[in-house]
Amino acid sequence: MNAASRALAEGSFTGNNVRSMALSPRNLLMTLLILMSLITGCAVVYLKDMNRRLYYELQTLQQTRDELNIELGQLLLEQNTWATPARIQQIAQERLVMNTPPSQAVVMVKP
Amino acid sequence: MRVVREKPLIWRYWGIIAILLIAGAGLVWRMIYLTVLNREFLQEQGNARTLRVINVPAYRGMIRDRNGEPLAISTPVDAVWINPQAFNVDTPGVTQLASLLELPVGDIRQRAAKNKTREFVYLKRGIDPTLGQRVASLKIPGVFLQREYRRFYPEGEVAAHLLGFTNIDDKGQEGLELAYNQWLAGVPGRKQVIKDRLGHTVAEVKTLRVPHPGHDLVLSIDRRIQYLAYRELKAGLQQFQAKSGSAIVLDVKTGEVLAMVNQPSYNPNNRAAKRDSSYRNRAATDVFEPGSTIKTFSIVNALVSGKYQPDSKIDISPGRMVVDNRVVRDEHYHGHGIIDLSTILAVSSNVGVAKATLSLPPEQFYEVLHAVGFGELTESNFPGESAGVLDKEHFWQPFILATMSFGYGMSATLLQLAQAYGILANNGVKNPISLVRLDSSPKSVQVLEPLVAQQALSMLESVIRQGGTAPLAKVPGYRVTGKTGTSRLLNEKDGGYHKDRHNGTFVGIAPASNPRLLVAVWMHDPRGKQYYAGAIAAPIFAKIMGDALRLMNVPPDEVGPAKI
Repeated sequence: MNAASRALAEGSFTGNNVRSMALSPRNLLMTLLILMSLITGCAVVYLKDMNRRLYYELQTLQQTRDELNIELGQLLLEQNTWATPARIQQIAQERLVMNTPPSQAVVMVKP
Repeated sequence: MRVVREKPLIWRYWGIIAILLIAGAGLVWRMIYLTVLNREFLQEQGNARTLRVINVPAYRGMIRDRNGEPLAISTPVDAVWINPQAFNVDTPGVTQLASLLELPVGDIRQRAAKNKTREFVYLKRGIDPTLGQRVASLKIPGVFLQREYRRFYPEGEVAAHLLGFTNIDDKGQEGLELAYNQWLAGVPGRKQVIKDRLGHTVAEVKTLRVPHPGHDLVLSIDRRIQYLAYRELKAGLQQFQAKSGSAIVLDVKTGEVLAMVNQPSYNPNNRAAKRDSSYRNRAATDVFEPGSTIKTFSIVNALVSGKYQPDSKIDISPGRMVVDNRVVRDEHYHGHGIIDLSTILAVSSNVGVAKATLSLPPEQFYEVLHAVGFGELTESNFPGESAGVLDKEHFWQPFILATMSFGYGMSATLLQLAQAYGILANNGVKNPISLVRLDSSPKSVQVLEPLVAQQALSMLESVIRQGGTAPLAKVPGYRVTGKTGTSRLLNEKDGGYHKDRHNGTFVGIAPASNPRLLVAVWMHDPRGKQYYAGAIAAPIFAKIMGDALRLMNVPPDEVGPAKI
């Protein structure tokens, strides 16, 4: 900025007109640099904001993952409580009237 | 005119310059003031508004069986706590809180009054999260919830001794929960983060403590076999009115324990505050004089020496002998006379094994017993496991040596017995006992000659036949080999033995043609009419073994004529 203002000031004091100033390669480079620094400044702000948004999203997803893990644990617990061998045996014997066949009734088929 | 007009212009020019300079200096000063002189204070204020330290919870890993079925799971619950300095018992809603927590209001009042100077007092821990939500919705000042974890055991009493349990802080207290606490427990982390106005975490500043989630532990246990062993043991205990009992199912090829059950048991999900003897994993912690089950190793000793062959004959009549002026006698003299080693095992003759053992160097007998694991801890890592007693000094006293040859004067756990017989079943190769599933082949050691192990095993088959001590151990479709052991209980008052109190054990292996499973059953102090191991432990063995072989898909090796 200082360089730019000096360039402007020098221009007006030495009496050069605006047209010649814009065309001089030195001033062109300067203008480009100014523009670039503005753009990168905006980019930094944008990326920083995006970083924070994404980090927040990551946090939310991690939390969801933890909650799902907890739910998985609870569901496994429930499934295993329903599927305890004792309960399966009871249902098989009482409701489905199943039993182990006696050894005389078993025929071994050799492959 | 011109001169007059120029003078005020110059004054105004310098005036404006001065104002600008002062304003500029003011700004510069302000900048220095904020960023240099007041930097710390302002930074602190800024951080106080955005920086937060949050906890990263860690979960305790699951315990699973060999097929991945969960045996122990931690799930979140809530703890209700109060800050007595901010809490007033007379706030409306406290009566509701009391009824939700099932605590008398007086109790809460007392607890708040007693801890007046503190800032943190638990009201109730481990409550259901839905109940926790209802407590939170009362919005009583000074009442807070804290997330914590509670362990649940879907198998309940079936695997209680083996798994153990955790305390209210989810730390292992007993059993495998204690042995593998380091592996299972997670380390909760802490991190510093930036939160925005809405409370969203937008950036992580630094990690104060790295969180480590707990690991899952995969056991060698098969929950179906564990259950059926427990079922049969419990039924047998009731039938024979025994004080306690244990059973172990071992995979002899790998040394993995497929089931380890004890009776009496307890429910680990709903424990009484007081621990009694039902909390012991007797199969690993309790020692007893194994009795006749040791005879197999006396015979192994005879075979190792090379002086005896399976068909070597020993004269056991008249059913008793004198050693060091003391008498060794057979429990029941069947009038056998001169019999070979197989028959000695089949009829479980004390005199026979004592004669054989006394004719051999005592040190060799010690070495055989030591090689198969008696007198030292197995590699199960179970907390509180006993090593049993095998005193080398005793081997030089002929009478004690004679009693040791039939399993008195030494002691062992059921787990040690199972390990020792597992070696016979595995061609003399000792696999370390493992309670966790092995993913690679075990570090095994050849401790007995394969031929000796095979000979001993096939001699044991006669035990199961008609005329042996345990025909009830027969499993239809399979060839079974095994040994009974009935020993008298030590009378702690006079150092002698009880006449009418016994330990009955049976250790059996099947299929005999290619051993796969070993089941060891121990019935302690049966009070019914039956007390011989062949009558009380062998039938339990047969039921567990039959079902376990079927569950493991082991093909029968004794198939009758095919009928298709």
